[in-house]
Amino acid sequence: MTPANDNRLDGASRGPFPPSTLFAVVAAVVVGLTMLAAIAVSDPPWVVRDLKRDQDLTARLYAVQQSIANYHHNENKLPANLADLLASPQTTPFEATAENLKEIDYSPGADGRSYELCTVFLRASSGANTLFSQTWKHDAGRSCFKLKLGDKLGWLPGRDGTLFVRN
Amino acid sequence: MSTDLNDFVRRALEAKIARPEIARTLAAAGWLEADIKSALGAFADVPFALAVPRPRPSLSARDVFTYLVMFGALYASVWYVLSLLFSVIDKLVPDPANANGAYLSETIRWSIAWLVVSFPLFLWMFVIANRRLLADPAARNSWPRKWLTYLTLALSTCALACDLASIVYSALGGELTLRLILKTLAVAVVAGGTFLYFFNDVRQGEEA
Repeated sequence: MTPANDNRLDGASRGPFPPSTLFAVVAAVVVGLTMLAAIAVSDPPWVVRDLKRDQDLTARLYAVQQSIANYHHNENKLPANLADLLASPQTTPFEATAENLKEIDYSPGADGRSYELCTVFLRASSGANTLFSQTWKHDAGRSCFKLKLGDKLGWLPGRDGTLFVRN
Repeated sequence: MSTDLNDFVRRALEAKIARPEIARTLAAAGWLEADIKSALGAFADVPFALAVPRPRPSLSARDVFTYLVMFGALYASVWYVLSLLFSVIDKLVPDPANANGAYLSETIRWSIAWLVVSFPLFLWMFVIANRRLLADPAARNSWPRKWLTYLTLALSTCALACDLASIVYSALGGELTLRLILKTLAVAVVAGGTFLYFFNDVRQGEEA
């Protein structure tokens, strides 16, 4: 066989498999098996899409929670409905907007400090795939979160769902 | 290489003095073995009235392109295949103290996306480079090829050394977990395989 028509990856004639061919084949097998294993342990695209939508919804719930705390700080009362939040001046980086309020139901409590946020999730959360997983842990379908205003305002919710209000 | 040494070897070869004898004479005169080998290697061992010089290492724009892309794609492939292997290990053997599933899924998607692009690119350039070597063995002397091959050897040696050091450190600290052992093994296989291939390639080049 002449070098010109030898279609192996190199011209080495040490055994049936030239080193470069062997390297390329082994590398392709390693990369292929690794990708298959990764695909097997990761979520399929349609689940990922649902989880991303749920994560977005969770972030919006958090924005609404922050805005309610701000509203209470400014007005000394809970909003009667979520539309009230839009009229109140907001100071946190997690502001309620008309877009944020979509798909979220709000019910103020009788004590003036507790309230409930409800929404519909596509997938159940695991500890790993939700933002603020302790507060917003949920199953697939409609989930409600009983929340309560604390005494101090901070930026993060407590583990029991209490939002601490900084005076 | 010294011009004097080069001239001496040229004249000696043209005087039909055997290579081993030239090497012995130069060694007796105090020349380093590496210099002697390099000087003799500069001339092809072919029968002719005059000493026939071997092709010198070349630097062509085509080689720079081929080898930069080939080795760049190789580094990206190695990086992302290790990232994927680490993520798979983290998924299969999760650390209860570190629930980072969302981050892992992002890493897996990103690594797969890069591998889908970088690995075929590497294979393509690898085939092109090796076909060129087949057609023209002197292309083995290409400077970009030599430099990037040695850079690859240096990087894979560093990876293997760090790998070994991390497992010794963890073992001494009593933190040798299954996750760590699997990750160390992954680095050893990928970096070790890369090192072995290119080390063999360098030796082949020296023998040629």
